[in-house]
Amino acid sequence: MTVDTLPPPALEADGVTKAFPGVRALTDVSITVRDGEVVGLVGENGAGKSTLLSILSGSLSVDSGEVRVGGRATELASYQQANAAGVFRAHQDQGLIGNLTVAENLYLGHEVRFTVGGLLRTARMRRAAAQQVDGSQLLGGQVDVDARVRDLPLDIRQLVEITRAFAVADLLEIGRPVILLDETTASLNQDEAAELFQFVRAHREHASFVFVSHRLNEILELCDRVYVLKDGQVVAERLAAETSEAELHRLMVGRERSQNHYFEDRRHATFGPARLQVDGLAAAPYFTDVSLEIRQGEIFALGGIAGCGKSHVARAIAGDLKAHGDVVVDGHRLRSGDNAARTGFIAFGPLDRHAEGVSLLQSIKWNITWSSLRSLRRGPFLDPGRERRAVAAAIDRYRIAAPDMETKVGSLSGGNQQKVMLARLVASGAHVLVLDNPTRGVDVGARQEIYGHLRDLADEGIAILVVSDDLNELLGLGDRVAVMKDGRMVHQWDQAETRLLTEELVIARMV
Amino acid sequence: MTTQQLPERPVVAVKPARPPRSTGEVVGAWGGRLLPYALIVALIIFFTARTALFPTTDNLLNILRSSSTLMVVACASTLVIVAGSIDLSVGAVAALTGTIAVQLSEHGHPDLIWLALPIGLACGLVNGFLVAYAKLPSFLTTLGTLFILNGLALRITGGAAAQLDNHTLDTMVNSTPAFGIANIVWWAVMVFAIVAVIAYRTPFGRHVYAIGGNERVAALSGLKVRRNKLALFALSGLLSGVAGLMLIGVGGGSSPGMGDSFLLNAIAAVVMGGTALSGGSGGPARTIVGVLTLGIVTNGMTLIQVDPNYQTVIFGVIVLFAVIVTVRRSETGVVK
Repeated sequence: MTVDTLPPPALEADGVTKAFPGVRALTDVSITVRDGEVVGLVGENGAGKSTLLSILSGSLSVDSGEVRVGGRATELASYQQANAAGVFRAHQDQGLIGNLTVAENLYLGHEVRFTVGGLLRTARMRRAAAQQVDGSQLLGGQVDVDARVRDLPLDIRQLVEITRAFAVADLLEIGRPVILLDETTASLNQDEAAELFQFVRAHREHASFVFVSHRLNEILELCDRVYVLKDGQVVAERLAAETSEAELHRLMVGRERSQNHYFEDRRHATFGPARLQVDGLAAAPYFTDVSLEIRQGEIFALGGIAGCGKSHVARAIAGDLKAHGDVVVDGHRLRSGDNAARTGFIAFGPLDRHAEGVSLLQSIKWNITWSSLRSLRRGPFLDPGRERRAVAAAIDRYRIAAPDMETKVGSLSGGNQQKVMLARLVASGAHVLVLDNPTRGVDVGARQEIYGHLRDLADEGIAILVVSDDLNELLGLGDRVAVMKDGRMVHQWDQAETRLLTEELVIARMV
Repeated sequence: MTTQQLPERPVVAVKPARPPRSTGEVVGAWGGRLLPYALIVALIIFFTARTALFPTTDNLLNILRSSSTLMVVACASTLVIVAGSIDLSVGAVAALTGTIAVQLSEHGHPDLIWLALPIGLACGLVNGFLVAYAKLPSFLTTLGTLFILNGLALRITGGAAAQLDNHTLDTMVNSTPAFGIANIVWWAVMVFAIVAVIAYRTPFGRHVYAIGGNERVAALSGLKVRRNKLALFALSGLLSGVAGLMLIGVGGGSSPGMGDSFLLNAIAAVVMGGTALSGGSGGPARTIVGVLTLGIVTNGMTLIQVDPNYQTVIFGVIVLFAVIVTVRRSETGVVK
């Protein structure tokens, strides 16, 4: 693209600054999205990506600077106003309301367009929604517009979000919308992500996109240009064709990603005796006949495409899902469906951190000690001094960045929240850790720290089961790797094979 | 690589400086804690200025005495609310246990009035079982038991008031052994101390906060959520039984509807103290402030002879005001 053929800007932020109490979220940020362009936005958690998207889509106001839509300075005081100006956002997780139907969600906030004399013409809204859903390449035929959103799987919900942006654009007769995709691929599997990319490419004729993702390879694949945010400032702007994952990573965190990202050199050569033995585990309808054994100091990585049952295996082993079969830890057979955390043998780090992993409105201290209060007693009473010392030691060990231990977990970055959870799991004294996607929604720098912590725990003889959607993580972290498909464990690679394993070999077993 | 050959990793303690806080934030953080006390001081100054009857030792002791029963009920409610549940049956349990105790005493079993405590406990266990094991919402469960227990109390007395002539209880409640402070006040202080220790210094208390903060996290952390909830409602029932004895001890008998005012006053006191109905924060130390505020307002308004019909209105305004200053909206996020 040469200078004289540049299309006109569709959406611009010019010198935008935004502060929250105690923290400067954005400082003098300027970005330009040209008509028909796909612009990437990368940065660690807390770099200001979400704040910037919120400002561009009218849900936050600027302290100084301005937002221009189609070249004109526009005050976006609400998401509705942003919509009217032609800006739409597909939210990361919580953009849809679970107890409303797909149709009601698609036109949420725009119902007035379907009212006659103050009454909502439901049939008309459903017809319009059905037209959008059936016509959408992403959803085509898969979704009933009368289905409640909470009954849909996460990935479909995400696709409904994107469809909503286009549906409302159509409704408002916006010819050339700007669509903000906020971590849209996080809950999609690889096929769906590929489909989404096709969809985006097909729509650039009459739309522009801003794409936020933690996955740098996706950014490079999809985007024309990339802005790198760090500490609330734009630190770099690159053409996707002229940069690399390594460079973007260095720009984001200020250091190169080490070759040894997963601390592969800290893999053990030999392991102790079996610590976790799972034999013939089955939980209909999710999975059947799963057997595995993890030895002291071993990290066992379990992969598979969405819906293969791997997360349910994790929950069943942790006792959060009733299952048949044997789960044995250090020779003790655990009762099925009995929360294993209760026995102190297995600690479980679930997939959905915000709903199940940490208590967001409560302090770091409380979150870390939930599972180990018994050992922090003097007589029948809690010993506050001992508790504070234990928490301070954990904060040091896991390098949790926070003003103090009374800080609410909800105010921490994703990486630090995950470290708080890990600290709790370890404090429980369990000898087996079961972790479902331990680095989901964690930025690159903190991710590597978590890998280091897992290696440390393995060094201490803890057996770790890691369930992951991230192929590189499976291969880099696992001492052994196994893959599930359609509820069965289809293959396990032994230690020697795992070292030679490639992504292609694993994918071949997954699909 | 074996464990012995691991490279040494630098241990770095990262402790970033606390970000500077805006003035509003500092005021907010401290204001939330101090404003309830400021409200009490303001009320005391106001009533003192209006009538010389208010600031006398006798009257202040009177306020403590009349707040004591509410304090006991509110302590029980606090823990249940911290756990994210609610117990609407507290007043009804107090009424039923008090009524039964009066009947036992008056029908020749003065020593059996203590049965009020196990009866209260049993009511609490029923609530707890229905909430924790039958998984019924606590609001509806205790609404149901509220009606049932109130009905039973009325059935027992036929809706009539009954006199109590029980010397032991009278002494234990009403005599003033030291500093002119009635025994009933010491009951309240003792119950508060026990509940505060449970809340702040025992694993069970912390589990209550965990359950109120996020029940799924608590369960996956290995806490015995159901057993803890059962214990919580049982404790609430037991303390309501204590309140039942205090009620009949002070009133010298039972009367229909004697527990009715406690339910809403207890919830008002808990919330005015700053314990969020959404659970997971607050605690008994805050509830004390709420109880005293209510006690002072009720007493002061009577002394300055506010029209009783207006008293309720003013009472409501003060509850709203107290909630406005204590609820920390930034922490609660979504308000329902």
